[in-house]
Amino acid sequence: MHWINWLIVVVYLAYVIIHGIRKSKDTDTMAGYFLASKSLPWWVVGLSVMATQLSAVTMIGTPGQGATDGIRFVQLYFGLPLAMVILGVTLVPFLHGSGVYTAYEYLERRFDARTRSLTAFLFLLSRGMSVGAIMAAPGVVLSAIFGIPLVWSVALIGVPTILYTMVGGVQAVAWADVKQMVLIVVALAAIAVVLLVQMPVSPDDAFRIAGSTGRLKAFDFSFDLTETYTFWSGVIGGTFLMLSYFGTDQSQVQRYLAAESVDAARSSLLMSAYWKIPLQGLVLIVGVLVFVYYQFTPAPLLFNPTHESAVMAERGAEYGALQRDYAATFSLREDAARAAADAGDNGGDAAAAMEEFLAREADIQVIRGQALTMAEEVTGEASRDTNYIIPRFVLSELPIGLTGLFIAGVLAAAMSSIAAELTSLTTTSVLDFYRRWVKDDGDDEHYLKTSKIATVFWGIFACFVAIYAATLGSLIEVVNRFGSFFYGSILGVFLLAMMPRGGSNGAFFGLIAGMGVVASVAFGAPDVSFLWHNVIGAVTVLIVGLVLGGGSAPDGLQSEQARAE
Amino acid sequence: MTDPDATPGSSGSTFKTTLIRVIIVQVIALAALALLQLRYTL
Repeated sequence: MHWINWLIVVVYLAYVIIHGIRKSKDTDTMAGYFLASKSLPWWVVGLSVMATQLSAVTMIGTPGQGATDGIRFVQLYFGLPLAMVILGVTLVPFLHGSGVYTAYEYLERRFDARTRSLTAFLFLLSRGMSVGAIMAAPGVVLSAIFGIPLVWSVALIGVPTILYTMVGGVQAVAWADVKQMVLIVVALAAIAVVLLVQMPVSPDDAFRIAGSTGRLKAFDFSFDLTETYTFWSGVIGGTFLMLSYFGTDQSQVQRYLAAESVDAARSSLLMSAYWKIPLQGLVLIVGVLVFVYYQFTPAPLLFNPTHESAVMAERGAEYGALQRDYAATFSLREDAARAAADAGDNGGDAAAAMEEFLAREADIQVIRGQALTMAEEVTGEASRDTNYIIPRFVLSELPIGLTGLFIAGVLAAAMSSIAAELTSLTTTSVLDFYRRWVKDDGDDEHYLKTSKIATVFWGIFACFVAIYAATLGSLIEVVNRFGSFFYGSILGVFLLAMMPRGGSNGAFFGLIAGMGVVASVAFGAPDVSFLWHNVIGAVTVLIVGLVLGGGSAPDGLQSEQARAE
Repeated sequence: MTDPDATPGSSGSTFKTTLIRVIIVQVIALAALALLQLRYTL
C-alpha cells in the first residue's frame, strides 16, 4: 500500500487515542465513567448507537454479500424502525427512569437477583465470545490483504480500542463513535462515487445487468421459515431480533442510559431507525456495483490472497489451466455484458443479449466454484471469499488516499463496535457481579480502578479469542448461533417485567424454558431460520412466565436502589 | 441519578418530530428499493 494511505491510517489511529485521553476528564465518578454523567445530546447517542452496529463486517462483508448475493439481505432490517418505536414508548422510559447502570440491574428491581445474574451471565458469555469474533473478521482480512501476521492485525485494532475505552469510559467511546461514523459514511460514499465514475456503462445499464442476475431483488414475499431473508422474517423475526438487541443488550442499553433525558434517549434510538435501511441498502448496492464493475475489469479468480498463494504453490499447473479458462470465459462474458448494455430496452434483441450474458455468467460461476473447491482442498478451510472482494477492489482500483480512507473506515467500524462491547462487558462484570456479589461497599475510586482492570482483561480476552477464532472458521458461526439461543428469551423476560402479572418465578423459569425450546428448535429443525428463534424464545418466556407468575419485586433491594440514587 | 422527566408516559417534541421524519425516510427508502426491483429484475 502507498505510504500516503498508511499515513492516513496512522493519523486516524493516533487521533483516536489522543481523543480518548482528552475525553477522559470528568470520568472520575462512576456516573461519569459508565453513563457520561447522563450528559450526552441525543444526536451523539444516536450516532454512537449507529456506529456500534456498523462493524467491520458491514464495511467489508456486507458489500461482498451484495456483490455475490444481491440486496435481499436488507430485508433483515425491515423490522428495525418498528422495534425502535416500540422500545421508545415501552422499555426506554422504564430503564432510563429507573436510575440503573445496567439493563440487568433493572431485572433485580423487578424480579430477583437470580434472574439478574442469569441474564447478565448469558450476556457476558455471548458477548465475550462475540467481541472476539467481531475483531477476528477484519483481523483475518487485513492480515491476508497486507501479508502481515494475524497477531499484528488484531493488535492494530485491539490495542488502541482498549486504550481509549479504558481511559475515557462511555464518554470517550460515544464521542469517538461520532467521528468514526462520519469516517465510515465518507469512505462508503467515496467508493460509490468512484464506482459510478469508473464504470464503463451508464448506471441504468449497470443496474439492468445486475438486475438480470436477481441481485436487485429487495423483497421476497414468500412465507418460508427455512429462507433466512424474506419480507416476513425481516418484519416479524427482525422486529423481535432488534427488540432483543436494542432493548436488552447492555452494549446498546448503556448508550441510551447515558442520554440526558428520556426524550433524548428515545430520539437517539429513532435516529438509528432513520438511516439503517437506507445505509444498508447503499452498502449492498455498492457491492452490486462492484459485481457489475468486474464484468468489464478482470477480477482475481480467488479473492483471498492467502488461499490463492497456497493453491498456486501446491497445484500450480492445475490452477494455471483454470485461470486460462477463466480468462477466456471472462472475455466472452465481457462481450456479452457490453452487448446487453448496448441493447438497452430494445425488446427481443435485449432479451436475447441478456440471455447470452446470463449463460456466460453461469460459466464463470462454474469456474469460480472449481477454484474455491481447489482452495478448500489445499487449505482445509472454508473457501467462501465474500469478505475479500471489497478489500481487493479497494486496494487495486481506488486512487491513492481513498484506499487509506477506506482502511481507516474499516478500523473505525471495528473499533466502535469493539469499544461498545468492552464498555458493556466491563459494566456488567463490575456492577452485576463484582459489586453485587463480591464487594458492595467500595467507593467510586475503587470501582473505577476495578473497571479499568476489567476493560483490559476483556480486551486481551477478545484479542485471544480473535486469534483463536481465526484458526477455527466455524467458531464464529457457532458463537452467532449460540447467541440466538437466548436473545429472544431475554427479551421475553423484559417484556414480562412490564406486565403487572409477571413474577420472579415466572421470569426465571420462563427464561430457562425459553432457551430450552429455542435449543430444541435449533437442533430439531435446523432449517428454521435463526430470525424465528427470537420470536419463539420471547413468546415461550411470556407464556411460561404468565402461567407461573409467582411473587413480585423482592424486598432487600433498597440498598441497590439507594446506591443508584 | 433518577431523571426528573423520566416517567413512562412522558412525551417529547423531539421524539414526535423524529418519529415523523423516520416514517417519511423509511417510506422513501422502501419505495426506492421497490422501484429498483420492479424496474430491473426480470
